[in-house]
Amino acid sequence: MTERELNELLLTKFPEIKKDFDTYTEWQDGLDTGSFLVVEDVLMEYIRKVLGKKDYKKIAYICETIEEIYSKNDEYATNVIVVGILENLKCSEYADIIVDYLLPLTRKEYDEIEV
Amino acid sequence: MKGRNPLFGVVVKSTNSNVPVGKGERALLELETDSMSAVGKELLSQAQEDITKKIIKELYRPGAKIGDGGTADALKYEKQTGKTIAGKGHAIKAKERANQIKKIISKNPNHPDKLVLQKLLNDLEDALKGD
Repeated sequence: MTERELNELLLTKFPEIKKDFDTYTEWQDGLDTGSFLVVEDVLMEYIRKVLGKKDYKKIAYICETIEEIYSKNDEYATNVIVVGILENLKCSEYADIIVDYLLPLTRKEYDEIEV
Repeated sequence: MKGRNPLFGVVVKSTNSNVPVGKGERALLELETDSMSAVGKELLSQAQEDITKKIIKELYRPGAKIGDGGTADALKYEKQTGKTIAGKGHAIKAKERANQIKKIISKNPNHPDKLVLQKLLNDLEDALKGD
């Protein structure tokens, strides 16, 4: 999967981040901006807000989506999910909330991350 | 087994959750887990612009213990040991951040955080050598 493909997928799954995505990427490479950057600097901000508000329905959706992308077994997408999202969350104050919503494959990865 | 890796000063945690940890050790682990590394904190204190602070926070995540706690040292560790941290490598993340920092500096050669950004870039490029 290319950066563009993963970014397009993320925008489809999380249309809420479109405006911030556009602002963030307009001085970079647009849709071709590295997905690590997009995930860490744009998507994670959205995920933290959802976790902070304890919107459990959205938290569940986020975890379903992460699992779905992870399940594609694409090397780049998996790397972004694990290092950009899961590792990020495990270091965060929301580690105890997210763990209950992660689905089996990503939960296994999450459990193996040492922080 | 717990010990300090002489190469990177890594505190190797036990993966056996049944190994008892004393109160003092647990408090220390929690403190380490909650805090950004000293290098990361120092860089953050020097940064003026939000984008620079954001980059530092992503490169020096709280609780990271490899080397100076940064992505560059994590990548060097991976290359030298053949092991990956969190099961997945940090090379692509390092490349994307390095490219981003180059872009920031080239767009604004007088960037207020140029010294900090250059230091971050140098560390990443050093770790990426050979990639």
